[in-house]
Amino acid sequence: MGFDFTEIGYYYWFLPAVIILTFGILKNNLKKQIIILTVMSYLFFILASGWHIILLIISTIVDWNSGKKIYETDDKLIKKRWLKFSIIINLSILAVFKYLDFIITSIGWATLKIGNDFNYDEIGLILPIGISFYTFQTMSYTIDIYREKQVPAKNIINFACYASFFPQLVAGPIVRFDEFRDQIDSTLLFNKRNLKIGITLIVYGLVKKMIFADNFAFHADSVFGDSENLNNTILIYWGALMFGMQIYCDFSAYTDIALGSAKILGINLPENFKSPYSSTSPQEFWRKWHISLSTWLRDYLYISLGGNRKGKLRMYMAMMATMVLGGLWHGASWNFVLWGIVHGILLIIHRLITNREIIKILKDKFSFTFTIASLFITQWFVFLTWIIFRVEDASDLIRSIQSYLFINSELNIELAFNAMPGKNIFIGFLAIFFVISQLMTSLNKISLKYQISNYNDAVWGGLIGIMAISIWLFKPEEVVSFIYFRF
Amino acid sequence: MNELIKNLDNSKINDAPNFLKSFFFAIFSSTILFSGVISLADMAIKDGSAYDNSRWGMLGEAYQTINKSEGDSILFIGSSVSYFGIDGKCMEDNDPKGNNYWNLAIRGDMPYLRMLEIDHIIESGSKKIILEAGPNSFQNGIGSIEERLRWQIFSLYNSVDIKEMNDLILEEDKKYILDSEIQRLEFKQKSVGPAMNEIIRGIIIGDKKGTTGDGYLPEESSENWLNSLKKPPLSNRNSLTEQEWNGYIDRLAQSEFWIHSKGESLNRLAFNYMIEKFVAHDIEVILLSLPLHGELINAIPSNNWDNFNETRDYFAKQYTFIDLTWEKWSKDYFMDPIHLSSEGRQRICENLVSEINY
Repeated sequence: MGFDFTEIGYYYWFLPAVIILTFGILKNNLKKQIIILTVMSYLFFILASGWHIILLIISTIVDWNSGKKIYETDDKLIKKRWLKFSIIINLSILAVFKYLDFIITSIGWATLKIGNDFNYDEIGLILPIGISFYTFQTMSYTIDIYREKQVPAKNIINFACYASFFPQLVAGPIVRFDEFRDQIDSTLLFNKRNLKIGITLIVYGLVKKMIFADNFAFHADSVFGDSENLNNTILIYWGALMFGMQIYCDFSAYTDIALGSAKILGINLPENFKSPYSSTSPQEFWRKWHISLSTWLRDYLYISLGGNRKGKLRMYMAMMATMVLGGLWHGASWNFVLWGIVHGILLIIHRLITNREIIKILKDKFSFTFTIASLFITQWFVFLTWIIFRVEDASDLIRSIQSYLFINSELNIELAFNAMPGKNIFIGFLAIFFVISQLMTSLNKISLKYQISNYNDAVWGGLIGIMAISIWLFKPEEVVSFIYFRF
Repeated sequence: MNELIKNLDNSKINDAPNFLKSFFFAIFSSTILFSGVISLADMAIKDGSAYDNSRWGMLGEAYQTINKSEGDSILFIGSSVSYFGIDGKCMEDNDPKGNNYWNLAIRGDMPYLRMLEIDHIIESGSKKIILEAGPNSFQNGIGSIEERLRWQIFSLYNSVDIKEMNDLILEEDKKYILDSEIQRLEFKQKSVGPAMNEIIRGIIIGDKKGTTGDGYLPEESSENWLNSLKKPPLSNRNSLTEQEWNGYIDRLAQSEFWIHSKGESLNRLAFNYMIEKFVAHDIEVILLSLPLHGELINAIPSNNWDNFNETRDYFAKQYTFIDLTWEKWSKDYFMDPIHLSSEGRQRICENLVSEINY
């Protein structure tokens, strides 16, 4: 693993260097500021993923050129050709580097099933970091210009800066060009208030990643890493809970650090999470989880497939196709396909029952109970899908799901407790702390991190000091790679 | 949310933060938290709750206590066999010469793992050192990586000089010897998680791991401190059922634990080095092998004993060796096939004082 937000170097030389260059040496010169942001973003990518920078550059040139050509012509046929060209190139890069091995092994598996002898040696290409994020980001630019919702960037440097902006380059959020363009249209100015919010977001993100996510990972890996555990329902619930909290803390931590780094540079990036575990329906969950991906899928896939404009059957098909492709976006594996299918089914079932008379009556008459029950049912399914996401081996997955559903499983608390690795009380305590912070956030409507950044200087300083030293004190021995780096 | 953030920005736009003030409060709060948590980790390492054995963290204090004690000291070093088998308090009661008897045996112990303590043992001023020299002492392996924890813990609180024994310590094991303040601080940081776990357990359940039974040493200032160094605290183990007893024997008979290597194993080299150092400092060394139950001896393939016997003969030619391994004691004297019960401990006490105190 190369450079990322858990690398100490990011904080002691990379980010300070970007800040000094942008606001110190090149202040009042927008063009040079954008160039330096782009160059530093490329440097960040090279440190993180090496020669794969070429793919980012190809993607940037193709989409910049396609966007320009689409905008310049009035001929709809030519517009369409350039759009197709952009989409084909981007999807081809994705297909080769992310899905080729998956396609080869799947064909091999299928042909073996029908008795053919197919040589299916994997190519073994290394997955370029962040490829799913930046290809989707640059594709949205071209599609928006085609749909006449967007005009091209002023110049290729501005576009390259948008496509490669280092805080969100490798793990999102997937930013639309209209969220970015105005912010680099005028000189970037240093602002102490931005620095305060930025530091808060970064430290808050590191707390989430290194104290919460990495400690939860320790238990999730231990539960799902040993087949012996998978028959025990208690352990499976514990593992699902740990992984669900790990993936949220891990991914939202990355987003927080990305938002914080960008904020210091005077650029606002969109939020990616809004307390997803407080959702009371699958639809609400997808409005709160990985928002930049779900809105991308909605705007560029679901709506393109007809959305809800062409009848119910078509809508359900579009829903399912969107969720399956959303699952596949995460990785080249049947797990993610299944994960997408289950989420698709949940969304369809929710859509089918939500307007039923009985549901409306229950909602009106027993509002509080209905909300609590909806919350538990939704989250029960969400955590079930995390097992599908986490357990790669098919037979282990079946056993885990059976145990989650209490089928042919055991409920031995003592055995479960003994099978847990060390620090179980400490980690349980962290889990309780996490749930309380989620509850507070969903009740207050404002995230704790923004509350902290709004405190006066003394309280803010005290809290930042506590959080910063806590990262060092409570981090586990091994730092786990960001999960979404794989996607 | 984005709207809200913009409002937050605007509401404070003229209220520029004073980072110097914030920095001061950050340093203040982090220092308090840092000191508090590191002290708690320290406490949990020392009382054994973090790593399940307070002897590892308290050995330095134990050797100082021996050094400060009045009268001559006789010190027992060994594994759980000695931990359960030696009652120093009983020996003191049976010793007309008024010697002090200290039992600093540690379960899972072997000579290789105790080399770091040699200087401290010498500085304890003990007149005689009784080294366990049974099958455990010359086992082929040198323990699991987890057992190197005791090196980390010992070198966390005590200075260690390995220059002279450099060749005896495996290169890959040297990283477990903490020789800088940064390494010590890092180790304490690693201990925060397990320490917090046990502290929270102590608060919620009222039961901290490692603070009762085998291996526990109370605080130096407590009344039981001296007693615990002489007669180690013992867990109230129920006597084994017939099935458990046989299972224990089967496990040992099938394992490679006691298939000693021929000639110079790391443990034998360490043992030899340890003895030479003690003798060079005019400390009398007595080697002791405590009884094993006859059923266990018979269950172990007879050729497995050959190398042990060879090692024992090698040392017996040079030093006083009290070999009780083959004594045919009944089950009443054993807690399990290798550890003595309170009756066995009493019998050892009554017989051994005169032998080592000639």
